[in-house]
Amino acid sequence: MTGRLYLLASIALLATNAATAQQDIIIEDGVTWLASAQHEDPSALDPLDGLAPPNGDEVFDVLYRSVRYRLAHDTVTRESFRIYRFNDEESIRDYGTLRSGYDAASDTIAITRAMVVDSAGEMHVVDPATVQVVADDSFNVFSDYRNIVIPMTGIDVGSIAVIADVVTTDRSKDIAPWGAVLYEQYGVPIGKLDLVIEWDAPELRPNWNSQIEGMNCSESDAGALHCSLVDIPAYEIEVDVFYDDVTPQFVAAEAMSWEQLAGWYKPVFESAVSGDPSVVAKSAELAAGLDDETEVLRAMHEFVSKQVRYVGLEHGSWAYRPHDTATTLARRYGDCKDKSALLVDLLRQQGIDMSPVLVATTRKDAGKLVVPSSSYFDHLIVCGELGNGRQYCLDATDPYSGIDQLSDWTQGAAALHVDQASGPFTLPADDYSMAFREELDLVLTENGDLEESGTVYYQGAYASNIRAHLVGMTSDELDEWALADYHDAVSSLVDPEFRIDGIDENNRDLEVSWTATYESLVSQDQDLEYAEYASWLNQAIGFMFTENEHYSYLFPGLRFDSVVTFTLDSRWRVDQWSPQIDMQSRFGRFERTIDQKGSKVTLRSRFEAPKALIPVEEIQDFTTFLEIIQQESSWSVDGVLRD
Amino acid sequence: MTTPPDKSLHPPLAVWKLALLLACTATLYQFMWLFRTTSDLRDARDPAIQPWHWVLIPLLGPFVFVPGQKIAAYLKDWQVEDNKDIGHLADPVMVGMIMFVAYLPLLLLIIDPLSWPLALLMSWLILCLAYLALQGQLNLNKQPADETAFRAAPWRFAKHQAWAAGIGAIVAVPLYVTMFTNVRENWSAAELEPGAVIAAGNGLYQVRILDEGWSQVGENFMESDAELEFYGPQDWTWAAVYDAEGLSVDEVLEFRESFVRETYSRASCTQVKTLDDETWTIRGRVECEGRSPLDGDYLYASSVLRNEEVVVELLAFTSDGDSARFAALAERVRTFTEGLELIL
Repeated sequence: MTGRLYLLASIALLATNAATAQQDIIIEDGVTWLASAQHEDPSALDPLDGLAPPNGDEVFDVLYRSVRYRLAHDTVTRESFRIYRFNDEESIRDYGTLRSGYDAASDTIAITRAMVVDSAGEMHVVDPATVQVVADDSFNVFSDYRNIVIPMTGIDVGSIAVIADVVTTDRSKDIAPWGAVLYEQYGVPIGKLDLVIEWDAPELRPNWNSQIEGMNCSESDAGALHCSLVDIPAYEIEVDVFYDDVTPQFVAAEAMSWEQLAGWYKPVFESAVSGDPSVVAKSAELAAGLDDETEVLRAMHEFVSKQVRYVGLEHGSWAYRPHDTATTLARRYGDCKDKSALLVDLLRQQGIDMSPVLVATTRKDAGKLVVPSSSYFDHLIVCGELGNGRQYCLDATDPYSGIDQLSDWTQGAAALHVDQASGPFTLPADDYSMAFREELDLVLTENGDLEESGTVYYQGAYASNIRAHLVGMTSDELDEWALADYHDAVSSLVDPEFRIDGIDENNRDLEVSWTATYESLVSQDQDLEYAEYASWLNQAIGFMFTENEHYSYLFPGLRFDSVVTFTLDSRWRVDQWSPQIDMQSRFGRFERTIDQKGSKVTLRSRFEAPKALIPVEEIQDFTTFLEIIQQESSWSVDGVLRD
Repeated sequence: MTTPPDKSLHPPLAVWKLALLLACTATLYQFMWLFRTTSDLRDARDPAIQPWHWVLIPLLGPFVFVPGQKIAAYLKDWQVEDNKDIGHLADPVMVGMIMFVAYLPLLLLIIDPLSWPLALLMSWLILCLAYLALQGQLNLNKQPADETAFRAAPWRFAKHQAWAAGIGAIVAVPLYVTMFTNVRENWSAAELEPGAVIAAGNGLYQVRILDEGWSQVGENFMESDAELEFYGPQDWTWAAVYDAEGLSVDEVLEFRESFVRETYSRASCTQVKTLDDETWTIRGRVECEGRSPLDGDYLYASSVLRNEEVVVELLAFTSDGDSARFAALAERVRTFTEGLELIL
């Protein structure tokens, strides 16, 4: 052991001498490739000493990861150090290029290590000339966030890669309180995680909380917090999961209460609500002739959500600060905070006071927001109460929903009122994200044809989602969509004629109507045994199954009402029909009544399964429930041929 | 041994022996007895009598008393004309009345269907009294006759009697066993305690007794295809469990409604399906009720359960002429059908 230490020390000394011969390289403004990253450094693997590789058979492991924050009055420094192992060729293809991120407006970044130790033990240092700096913009959202893309060199199966960087944030350029969220699990297993937070002065000591079981944290008098966790498995990847809710986290943030956090943001938001004459004039124009506050709310929301398009210019402090409402109105574009500020301004001109609410769209459990931090939130909406006492929350970025409902992606999300001295809360959510009803008339003619006319009324968030899909389609495209949907849900035997209403009217149901004739569907010379599926319900239930095996399932809720009339030609006499249904369960209920008058049978059905978090151990039962409803929702009518 | 003359009479048959033969054959011997007796009457009294016709008179049911008293009248005339000094045992009016009364015990079945062994036994006993009286009279009528007037030696063993007893026993013994078993199992059946559980169907389902006043009766008690049968808290209240393998819940409900409508075509029927979210079992129910002139208020209540292994139905019925009493019974019948459970 002593011999090995001597050898390593010798190598380290040689490496240090070599490093002095290198110069730091400026990749671009604020991005530096340090000399230390330009030579081979065996000591980079020191953190692996005595460390067992993570369990499991993943093709790609994080053998070691450390994050060290240093909080000072003027700066925040984040040192990141990662060691990866590539266990097969595909992992090399998928993950062989590593990234480091920073905010160009407030941060500088220095790459301190970037090397690979291949399976033969040979070291490969990344050539800084190969490094790319790319913007992290998504469609119509532009910010100063940058990624340094580092193509690692010489990786083969069994290679170990080391990447390390230091990001320094100039706090004078970042208006948001500092905060960091660290998750217990990631998509790959981690051998060891070290976290250090140091602060230069007592008043800089952050609030912190760890929900990670097994993470050992100790805070020293010297102003440092050390946390460590070993052998962290990868999280299970499933579809219907809000990972921010289910993955244990470590959260640290600049010391402040929720009230202080809200108090920080309120002036930031209000600074944009200028009451500019252009806004006053627009408000008056939109409210002209409207006496009812609700109508005013509807008009303003419709204008901002539909006629002010979504474009996010989030450079620098605009990442948090809305643009002046006059600017947003003139540009006719903005991001969520720009549009929200404009909506607030327009409404205030009419005496309707709404206030901003920060939203964490990926978090549905407000109880998990244990440390006051702005890091949770990624969206902004406005909420307020009208004179009639009714509360409204409006998403100014949702052009497809009316004022009576929030956008589907914000319903039930964790949120923070900026104007109220209260902590996080959960935004209201419809019990049924999918709600629709069906009216169907079926007429069996003398010659055995079935004439069908029906309408499906999509409601609430379900209508909004379909509207978002349909808006902008040509009439031919709408027909194609409706036909494909009908073929999928009902039958491909016929191509009905369709009519679609309510695409552009958010405050009513979206209606899809059709007529069709199934020629010679039944034999006219025999007794009738007619059976039918509740096609639309079956289709909707089909969307509701989950394959989660490890995480609870947030079932979005489904409600379906149906009135079906089935009229027989006088050739037949109605003899028997399906049983009535009164199925109640802990997940929901399905009811059906059947009335017969003369040759007409009327079936009234209602399925209600409200939004619920289905515990993972209940998912099999929940699946059984849905399967039973699909099976039992069919109905039949028997007719006897008259003499 | 001399060959008997063509029109010689059958030898006298001891009354006790007739009683034994009737008992051994569950009264089937009456057909042979009628043939032999009417043959004697034909030979002794009226050549126009056709014995094969008279063999069929038991099929007349309660109206058997008409030909029965006619036989007695023939015997009385025979006695009066030929043997004035001998006794008189079978008065035609008395015989006719006995034969008529013999069918009265069967009326018990209307009141209480469970009493069929008792009703049948009483009916047989009374009917046999008539036959025994007639045989006694016949024996008296034959008494003065010379032995040569008989086809075989009187009072001796006759081979046909042994054959009749043997063949009749093939029917009689199982019948007696059934009656005995029925009486033993059902009339001694203790009332089931509420909460009791009766498993059946190879452990696939069970009936949980949710109410008092119900007794379990043996197989084939009233329904040959029932797996379990129960006798309820009132005479016309019963329940049976059927295996409906191969049918869906809807099909069983549809069948049951059709079945009820065969008897009560104007019954008011409702079918409904419910769901047990502990076992995820679908329970179908059909209830048909109404009022008929014969039965008063009636209710058929059926509960159907189905899973991948079994489809089982618990059908219960009650009726009562008193509407208030019926309402209480109907609730008890409904409660009873709720006790059907699948064993998972």
